[in-house]
Amino acid sequence: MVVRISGGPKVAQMVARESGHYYKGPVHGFSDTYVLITLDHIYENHPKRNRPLKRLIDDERGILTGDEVWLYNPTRKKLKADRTNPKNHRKALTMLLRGSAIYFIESNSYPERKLSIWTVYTLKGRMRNDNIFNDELWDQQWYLLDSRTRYDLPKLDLNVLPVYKAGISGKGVRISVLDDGIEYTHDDLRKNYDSEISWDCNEDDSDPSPRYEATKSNSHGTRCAGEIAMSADNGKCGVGVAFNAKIGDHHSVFFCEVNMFQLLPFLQSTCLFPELPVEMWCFILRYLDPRSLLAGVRVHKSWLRVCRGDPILKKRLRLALEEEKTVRWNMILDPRLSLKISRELPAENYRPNVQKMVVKVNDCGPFTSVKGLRLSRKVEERKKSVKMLDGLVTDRLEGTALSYAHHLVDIYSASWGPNDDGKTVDGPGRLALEALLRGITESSSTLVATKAGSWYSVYRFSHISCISEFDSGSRYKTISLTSDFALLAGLGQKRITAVGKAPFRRATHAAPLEISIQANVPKEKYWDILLGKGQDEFLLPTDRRYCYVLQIQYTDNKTTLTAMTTIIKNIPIAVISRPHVGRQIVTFSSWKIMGRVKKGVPEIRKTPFRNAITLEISSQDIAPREEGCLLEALKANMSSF
Amino acid sequence: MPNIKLQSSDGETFEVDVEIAKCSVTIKTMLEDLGMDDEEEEVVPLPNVNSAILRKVIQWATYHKDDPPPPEDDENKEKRTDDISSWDADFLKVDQGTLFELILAANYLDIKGLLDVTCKTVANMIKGKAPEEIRKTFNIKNDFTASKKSRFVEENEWCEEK
Repeated sequence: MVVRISGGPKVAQMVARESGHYYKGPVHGFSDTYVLITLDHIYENHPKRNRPLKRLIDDERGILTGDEVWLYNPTRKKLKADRTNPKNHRKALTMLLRGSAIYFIESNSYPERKLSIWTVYTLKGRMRNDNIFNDELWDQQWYLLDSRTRYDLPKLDLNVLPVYKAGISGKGVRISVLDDGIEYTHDDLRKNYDSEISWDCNEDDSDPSPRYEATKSNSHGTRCAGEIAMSADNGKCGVGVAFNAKIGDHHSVFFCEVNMFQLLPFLQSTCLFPELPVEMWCFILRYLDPRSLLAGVRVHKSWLRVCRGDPILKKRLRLALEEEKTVRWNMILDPRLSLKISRELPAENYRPNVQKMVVKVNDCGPFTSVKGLRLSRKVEERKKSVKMLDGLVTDRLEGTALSYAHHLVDIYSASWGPNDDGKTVDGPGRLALEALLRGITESSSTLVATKAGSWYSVYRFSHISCISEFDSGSRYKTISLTSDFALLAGLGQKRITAVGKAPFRRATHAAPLEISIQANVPKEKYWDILLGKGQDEFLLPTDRRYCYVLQIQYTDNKTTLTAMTTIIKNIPIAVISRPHVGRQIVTFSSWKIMGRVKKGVPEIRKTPFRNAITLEISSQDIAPREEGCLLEALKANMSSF
Repeated sequence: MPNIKLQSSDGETFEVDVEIAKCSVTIKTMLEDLGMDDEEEEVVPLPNVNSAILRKVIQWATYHKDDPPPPEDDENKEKRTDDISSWDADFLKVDQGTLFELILAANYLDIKGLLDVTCKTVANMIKGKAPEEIRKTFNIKNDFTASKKSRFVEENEWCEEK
């Protein structure tokens, strides 16, 4: 639980003690904000159980700012319950099936275009733009150069080449990628890496390199960073959209979507361990204190063997074992110890140390049935269930990441979005929202690019994505974009994007300002990249959101509004949103209001696709009075969709 | 200053100041035993070290060339691991594979300072963690099949034996 209490950490500790909480520490990046843990998460039979939350709310000194442990978030809990309900599940499934059925009929009704673009444009050579950069994969970056071989195909690229020619390449713009880490020593990224705006939120240090795993699942941040700011003209890989921009990283998210590859058992059997000979391990283990040594010995048999063979280590280990034994016996002789801990010691003392000790006792001893210790075992289990996700995104983490160095960063790129279940819409949490507002008010131009609509929501064919507090309804200017995500397109439906149709996975965002086309990377290719074979390749679908880097440099220190006008004026495919008309979902193909968000499920209507629609929208139709001047004389020409 | 050429396992040669190269005891004895003269353009082959690692080692040695020789330490005393200088900490921010290769190279070349600091880094990765966390850090599979109780008994047994 995250609580804001004025008066400094001492007061916070006092409040925590009075109301029966653990005081965990301050929240990085926010003043007067602290993490407290309720006792009933830890001790089931504690007399103050169930009371703390209420009392804390009544307490005048503090206000509750958000929930730390998401499992106990009432709204999320509801979502979880919904998901397990078989009725709802079936509903979602039929929706999914229905959607895909429609999709298939549509795709078959265009027999003359059955040839995928991938084969089409390998037929002949590229048309032009081949030799601008010498990077080896440059000519495959279809989103940057015009790779069409036939002019009747829609233009797929982002139209950035003219921008490069005008000398705009993102210089002086700083982007922060909020993701699972960045391999900043990579040859193609080193030049553009900016350590000043980088932070590891998971481990709270300044080194954002990803946690290396055999499955290479923590590579998403590096790939995103590469997509944005790979060095150009160095003969390696490809070119980032803004190849002169500076990137930093907030290592904070572990990606569940990539996580499924951990299921591949053969990858997990690879092990770094035997790389060092025994005598080297012996040398290393001598640096450890007895307690760590004991833990180390319990890791692997070969370390145990190392310690047995070495007289010094053996002696030290024996000491550690004896020490542990006495601790354990003390615990058993005093069964009320755990109760005593929670009542008498000051808050800061018992949380990290004693609890850990109790857990350790459980971990190794045969005495798990001792009554006083059973409770702490539960704690351990719960910890594991939370930790399994390795960097669960809580509101606190989001807030910290979004507020870190906000006076330096121009753009935050977050590859996650709010959850949704098709009915309710989840916005950013309290701290994240505060960080966003601070970014808007305290620094000249901060943009946050999020990927709206989380993975599973799109998976479940939910048509509502991301209409959150900071989206079109709010008083701060939002630029909504949409792009079609690649993976499903890759799994057999790649044809869609290639011929310029709306793909099945398209999330109908709230009034998108701009649409870009997503990858038509074939399945095998995409999987190659995900599996890490192409760790060095950054040939991945890109979003238009990264083009803002260029926009920011172009508009320099002007406001976001100016940036927006520029975008609208320069981009051929543009649809104008209707700000301030309330929370409405607007499809970009039919311009029909589909329904209100907060009241029940909106009506989902499939609109027939047409290839070229030109919309002319008058300013009164679009914008409220104060922003009308901006959008005047604008034509939204949807040439592709 | 006279230079010396070092050749890595993959054939790349590095030209290094002799004084810097001599911080490696292996190279130093090699030079003394073989009596290599400074004028001769001899190449010292280092078959156990590849070029990427050798480059890092040379970078380290260049930075630390003026350091006093490390004191002889007492075997029985527990050593400190928190005295890594910030330059070294930055230098060793590499992936585990590289770190292990650096240890092997330092051992082979007999550079005590580098060996110390790399081993300390690995020790710090182990320190203060529970066994499960350590396994996660090094990606080690749990090979203990016995139950906790029998393990406990076993541990106690060999603890008693002299």
